[in-house]
Amino acid sequence: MGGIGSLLTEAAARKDLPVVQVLSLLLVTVFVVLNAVVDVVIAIIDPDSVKSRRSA
Amino acid sequence: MSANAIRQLAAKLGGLLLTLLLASIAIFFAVALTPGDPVTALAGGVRPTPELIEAIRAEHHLDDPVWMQYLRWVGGVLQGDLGTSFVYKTPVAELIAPRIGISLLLVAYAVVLITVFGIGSGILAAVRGPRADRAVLVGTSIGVAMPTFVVAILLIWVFGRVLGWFPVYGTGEGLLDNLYHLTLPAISLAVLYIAYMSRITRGAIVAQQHAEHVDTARVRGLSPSRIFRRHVLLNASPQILAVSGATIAGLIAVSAVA
Repeated sequence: MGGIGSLLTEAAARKDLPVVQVLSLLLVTVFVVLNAVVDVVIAIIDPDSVKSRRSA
Repeated sequence: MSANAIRQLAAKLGGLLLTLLLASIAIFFAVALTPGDPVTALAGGVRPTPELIEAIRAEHHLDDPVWMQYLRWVGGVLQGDLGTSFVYKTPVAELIAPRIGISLLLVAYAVVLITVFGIGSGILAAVRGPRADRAVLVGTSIGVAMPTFVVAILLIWVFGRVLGWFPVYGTGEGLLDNLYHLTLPAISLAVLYIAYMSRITRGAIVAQQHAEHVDTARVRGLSPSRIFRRHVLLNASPQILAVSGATIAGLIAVSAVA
């Protein structure tokens, strides 16, 4: 496909460690940041859900 | 914004940074623990002489303690230096840059499909009576049950070979051609999540339809479409959004491996 995925699998197969490390870190970062953004958006449209979780 | 909200936001940000720190440690040490000496990869296929091995180890600081290698790596990444590929001998950033666009496009395409068809069919199942509900249930059961690689092979066979509607390899030139080429991969990525989103959406809406405030709105004589938009869909949206957000975030990781 010529995307990030093929680069990652190819790098892993060829033991191209710097590429594997950076791509893994990139994917983790995107995942974590997106989840945080969703949490904030939910807190904005539905403040009660956050409060009830705090007091529980 | 209240002080409480700011404090929660700060806690969120702190947790995020801590997660990233732990992830970077896990990634670095997992790679450092893999069997095989990076020198072999660095030597580029030739059988390295002892002098060459020495030179390579010194150039890449392989004799330093692992934690120092880690600090050097993280420090570099934070300053925008992503390191140099062992195989291509070019900066990693230059390898990623030309490829990230097509990956983002694929994920965006899949997200649009998931949002439109997942939430759409969920709403359909919830409001259009038992027959639509049954039909969506059957469809989503099949969607959930099929692994992505099976879907991909089926799509390639049906739409690529038998019908010949879509290309089965390459990414094309220009945005429209890119999208055309990415159609089958995007569908195969999306199928599982469409089915998943559909179920979540249906569940969230049905739960709201039986809530007391919806009965109250009905008794007040509000129009059904207004009740649906203001009282059902709006209240179901946090639940739908929570799942779709996590789904989209996961999709990026999945698409990288698929």
